[in-house]
Amino acid sequence: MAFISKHENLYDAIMRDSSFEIQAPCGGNHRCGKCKIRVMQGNLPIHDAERRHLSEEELLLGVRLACAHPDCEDDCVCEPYREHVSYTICSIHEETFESVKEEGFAVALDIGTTTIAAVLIDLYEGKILREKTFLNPQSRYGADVITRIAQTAKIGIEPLQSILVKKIEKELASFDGYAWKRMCVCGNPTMMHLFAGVDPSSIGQAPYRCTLDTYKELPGQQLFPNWKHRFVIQLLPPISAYVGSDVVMGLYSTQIMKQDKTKALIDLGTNGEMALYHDHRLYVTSAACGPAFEGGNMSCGSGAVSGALCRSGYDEKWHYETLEQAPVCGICGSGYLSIFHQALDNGLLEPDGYLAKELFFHPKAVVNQKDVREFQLAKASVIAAFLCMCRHASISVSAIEELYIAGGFGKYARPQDLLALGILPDKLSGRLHVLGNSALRGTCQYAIHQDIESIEDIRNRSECLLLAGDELFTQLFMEHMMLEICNEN
Amino acid sequence: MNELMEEIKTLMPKGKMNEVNALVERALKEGVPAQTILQEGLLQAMDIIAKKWADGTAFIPEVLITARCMNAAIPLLEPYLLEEKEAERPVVVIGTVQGDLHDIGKNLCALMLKAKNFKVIDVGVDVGADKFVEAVREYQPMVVCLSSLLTTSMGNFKVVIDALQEAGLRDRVKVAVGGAPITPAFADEVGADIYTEDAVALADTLLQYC
Ligand code: B12
Repeated sequence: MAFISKHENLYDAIMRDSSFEIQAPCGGNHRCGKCKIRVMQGNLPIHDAERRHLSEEELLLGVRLACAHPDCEDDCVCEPYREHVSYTICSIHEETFESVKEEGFAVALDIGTTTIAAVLIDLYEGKILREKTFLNPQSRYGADVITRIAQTAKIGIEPLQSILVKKIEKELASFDGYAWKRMCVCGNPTMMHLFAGVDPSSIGQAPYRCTLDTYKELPGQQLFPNWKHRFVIQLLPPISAYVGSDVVMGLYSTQIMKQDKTKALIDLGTNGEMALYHDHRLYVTSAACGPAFEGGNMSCGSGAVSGALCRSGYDEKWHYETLEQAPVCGICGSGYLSIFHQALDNGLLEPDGYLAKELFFHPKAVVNQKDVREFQLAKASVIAAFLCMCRHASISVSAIEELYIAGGFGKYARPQDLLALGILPDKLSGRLHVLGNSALRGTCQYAIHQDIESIEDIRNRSECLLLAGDELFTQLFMEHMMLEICNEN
Repeated sequence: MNELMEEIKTLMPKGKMNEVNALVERALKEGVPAQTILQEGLLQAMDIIAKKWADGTAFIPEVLITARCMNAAIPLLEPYLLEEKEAERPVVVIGTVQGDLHDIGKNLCALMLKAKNFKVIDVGVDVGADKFVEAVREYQPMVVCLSSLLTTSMGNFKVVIDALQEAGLRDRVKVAVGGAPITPAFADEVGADIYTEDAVALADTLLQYC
């Protein structure tokens, strides 16, 4: 609950209270309409942005957008307004790892922009004892890394760091009593900087550089003074500002460089990181596709939460399924893939992206023309980056023997949808492997084996492709904006 | 002559660059004024596609394909157009602000402006305030267009606008801003004169200032 006085900036006041749960994907920029709060006392008039973004029902309930009241019209009391409850998690719980029979415990932590996953490992047995997945509390400062970096320029690093560290401390309470020796941490570079309390601003502006760009250890007490046992925090190193240690650890877990095969790995999250291993060299890049595949930036988009429309079918009329069969609350990434695929096959959507009529499933699940356009941008950037990478390595697509799909979203996406929409080349059909959270898996393996040489080897052999200013990328980006099978050889 | 123009207009959205060029050359040979070919052929084709974009039936690739044909054909006309009063074409300076390298949206804006017969000076990407000031001083444009796709770099709009003020040029030039994260409210906040959501609307808006 928060008390705001008349003439205060409502958004700023709420942001100052770190215990107030709120999301602000666009960082309070009046764009996304997601920073919803409920006014319990006080009278706030309804602004245009609120009419656009909120339903009748919500307006009646007293829901408002925090960012719409820079000069608060009344003294008021607000409470968090939560729509999304449980996130389905991407689990690796069942797995065991080869161990080196070292006594003790370790924690592996993957700090994602949206979700954070942590496991407690018994080093001797190579077994996972506990697992925890939770939302990154920094969502209140923006959905993507750039918006969060922009926030640090305004309010400093400390609020973003402390909210993150406190949340981790709280969620890991169930690991208490195991006195782990080390905590191995991976994540995208921005998350790593914010976790360690290092200024991330150099990542947000050309020429996009990391300050924290090597392997680093910190005493546990430095970040977590409340945990009394001694442990060391191991911060895993990135390849570049947009290819982070999460990708490095994913590559490590697949042992991509151990065999002499041509293989690739792709993460369909917001940054669209990808890597290609060929002839002893590793090419990496990031497609900056945005969060469309995860349901971000879409009018009815939602994360993979219970109630999200996740699959559809069409025979004269639409059928659909939601996660955990709960009442519809939105559409998640795999839902969009499935809908677009079906709509294309049934002529409701043109390959050039033209949507004659909105696709209606439910008042909370509608697909409009703008959603299709957003999706086309994301799709085109992924396939263009992927083909660029192949050209750069001078190989044809069909030379790739295996393509690993990493990341939370990849877990739910169906390969046939990815191929039919041309997000990945059709030639790779039958060679796709869905990995789930490979970053966390790799971090667990590292926690056990502590073989920093393998990690450094991955980094040393990698070559980061810069797509900005690359004519070929721009050309491919245009050519692949169509929603159709990609027949590249 | 009309058939030639009609044919140009059907072939351009299909990206038939060579055919379009051949038609343009034929029209010139047949004595059609360059200005007519430009206005009633090339620019009209762009206009049609721009309308389709505005009503949602066309998207970026269609616009670019058409624009690419236009760009390829314009050099054929230029020797004849030069005689006309080049000096009277309104000038626009456009660039992506410092910290950002995205240029696809900015290039599309430049193309749509060219299609409306503006003279466009593109200063590139990752452009600092001093370079914008210099360009404004040198080319004396009617409008300077600033693009930013990154939340981290959009603050640089203000830096450019302040620099123009400092150089005493702010009164002589309109400032337009845009890019995916930009809102009308933000454009106001930094003191820009013009904001539009897309390239077509930008070209239409700037025409009103001529
Ligand atoms: C293609 C793309 C790239 C390409 C850029 C290629 C190039 N030559 O420009 C590559 C892969 C290199 C790239 C890199 C990066 N990108 Co990028 N990219 C995109 C993507 C997918 C599409 C952008 C695009 O070209 N759209 C098509 C054009 C036609 O549209 P537009 O640019 O919006 O322009 C239109 C309007 O905005 C307007 N407009 C544009 N300028 C102006 C100016 C004026 C005056 C006016 C009036 C109007 C106007 O008119 C245009 C046409 O109608 C977006 C995602 C998205 N959905 O937007 C991310 C996105 C912009 N990128 C992003 C990021 C973070 C990056 C990186 C910094 C990091 C990364 N993850 O790799 C790097 C940095 C390198 C760099 N470019 O600076 C983020 C920005 C997030 C934020 N909050 O700021 C986005 C939104 C994706 C995301 N959500 O993460 N990217």
